[in-house]
Amino acid sequence: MNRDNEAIVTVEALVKHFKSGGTMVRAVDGVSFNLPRGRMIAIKGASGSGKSTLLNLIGALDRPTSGSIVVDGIDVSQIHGSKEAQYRLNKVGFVFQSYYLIPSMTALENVMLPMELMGTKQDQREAKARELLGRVGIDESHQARTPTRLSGGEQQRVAIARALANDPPIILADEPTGNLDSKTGKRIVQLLYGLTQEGRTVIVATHSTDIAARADMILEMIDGKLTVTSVFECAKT
Amino acid sequence: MGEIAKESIREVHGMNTVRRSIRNLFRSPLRTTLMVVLLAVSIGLALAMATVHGATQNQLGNIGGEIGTEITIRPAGSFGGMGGMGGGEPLAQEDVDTLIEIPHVVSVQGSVQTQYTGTSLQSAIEPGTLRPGGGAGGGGSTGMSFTMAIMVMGFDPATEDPTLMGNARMATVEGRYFNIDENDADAMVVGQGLADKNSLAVGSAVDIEGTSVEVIGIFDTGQVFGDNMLVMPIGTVERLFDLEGVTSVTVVSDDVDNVDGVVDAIREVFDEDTADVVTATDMYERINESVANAGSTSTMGMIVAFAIAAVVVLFSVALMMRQRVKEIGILKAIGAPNWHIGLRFSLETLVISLVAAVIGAFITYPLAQKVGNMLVGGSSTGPGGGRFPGFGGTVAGIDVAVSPQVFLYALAIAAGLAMVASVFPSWFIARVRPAEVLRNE
Repeated sequence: MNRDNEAIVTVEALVKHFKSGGTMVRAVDGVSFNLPRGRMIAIKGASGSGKSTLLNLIGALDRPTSGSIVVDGIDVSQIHGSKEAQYRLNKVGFVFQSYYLIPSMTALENVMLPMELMGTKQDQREAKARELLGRVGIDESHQARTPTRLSGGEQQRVAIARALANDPPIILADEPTGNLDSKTGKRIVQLLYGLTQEGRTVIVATHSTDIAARADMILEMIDGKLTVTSVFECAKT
Repeated sequence: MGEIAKESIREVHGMNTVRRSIRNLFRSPLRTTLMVVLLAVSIGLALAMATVHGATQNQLGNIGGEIGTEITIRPAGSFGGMGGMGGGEPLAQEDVDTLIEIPHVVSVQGSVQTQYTGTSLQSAIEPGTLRPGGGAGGGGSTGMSFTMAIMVMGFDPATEDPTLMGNARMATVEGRYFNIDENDADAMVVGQGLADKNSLAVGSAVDIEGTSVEVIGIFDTGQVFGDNMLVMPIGTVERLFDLEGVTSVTVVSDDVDNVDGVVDAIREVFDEDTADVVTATDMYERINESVANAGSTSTMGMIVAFAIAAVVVLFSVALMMRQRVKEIGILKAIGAPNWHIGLRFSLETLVISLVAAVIGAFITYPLAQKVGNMLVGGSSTGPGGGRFPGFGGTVAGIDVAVSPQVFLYALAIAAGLAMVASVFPSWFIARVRPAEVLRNE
């Protein structure tokens, strides 16, 4: 069987409820889908539609109320503690709207950190971090800067390099261009799309039509429910 | 993953985590400094209290060893007054002379005490040097300005190493003490403080009650009040001050177990209307009670200081966690296990605690003596007054020696505090859901 045609993410009857201001919010309400490997998938929807929650559940940043999520053979809804941390370290790389770099570390150290947690040797992780930063267009002089001395676009590129540090098969990006101007945003989208060419699956939560236009598959969400699933044929299939 | 590989990962984590934890401390220099200072003071205070507690217990043991066989007799009503200056009529010399015949009595030392009120000499204790309640003479004074009277003590020249009021011991620093045949000589030895104040030297002559008395020696007691006294042969004091009889007798028994029997025999010579008989055990118990109070105070102080240190650490850690909850969320999101994040915070707390502990240990040196003086000495320096009548000087002169081991104790405290404080981050981190933290940011 062609591995590229396998579903890398399988979600079944996924539900996530949480309390917000005393009200129970159904952020994800009985969602089921399969996502193919090596594609760029956009999860579209308005603010509060549940797309970020869905992304967090796939990335094990949050626990589902019910249902199951199987990612690359791992039932994410059943893992806890150190296995949960291992999953985040090995299987997924996160790119956030607000970048979320560690402010006390340089760009290089931020990228090296996941590798350090993985146990990669110092010289190897430094070489790889420099290579990744070079790939996303952060030159050496900027690599030694802390996040506060980098522009938004540069910070997001560092965040992408960090997400790639341990070669995860899945990149989860939550509104990755939300804080960027359109030109910089397009560069970031191009960068993310380029990752699918390496066989990675990129799942992007967005309300941007520009990003959705580059996606191989679009899931649209309204009030926690999946309404439309559009799959676009491309050369890879 | 094999155990060896896991160990190697932990080693790599460890070194970088230590380096990063130390660097993180400089992110908020004000907070770090404040925490170090508060913690250092708390640890220093706790160690000082512990040191004082140990010192008081040692001192008490020493006093007990020294005074265990002494029995003091004074005219009825003298104890609790102005160091024996009050009370009834002096004791008859002929009655005192019979005491040596009591079985198990080793020595009898009679003395006469009075005050010099003339103008030839000035007291070495300046007006205003005594604090209210400071215990000079009658602990609980209202702090009004006065001059401490010069005490005159008369001893039999045959008495070896006589004990002055306030349990002070004389050490001759210049000249000599009386010869056995000088019981009525116009001679005196004076305390160092009194000599300095009045520019007296061996050979100086002073008019005492109309008689020129020669200074033949100068002594040091190590106490302010002891050094403000002048000592004469008992016959000279009786003649110059027109006194008859003795005002204090110290009887020494051959064994602690025989003290009660000797007291019973003394009571047959001096009844309760004539004299107060106080054994060293009685005095020791009075001192013990007071020192025990001081000990309790220092123990309580130590507990409070420890509690403050613990609160400072816990509060700081809680503040640190709260301020850096986003960082915790990010670290968890990129796959950092809870122990790794916990280790970062615990190391930061440990570094702060260790630095504070070293500073605290240094603070202990000057602080311990001050705390010791405050708890014990400040209210017991008076001759016969204050909390430890008759032994004020002994306890007031407590030497709070801080041993170098205090550094080890400080480091142990720091490690303990850091361990206690690390419970909170571990609990907190385990409960942080990255999605919640990052959603709220």
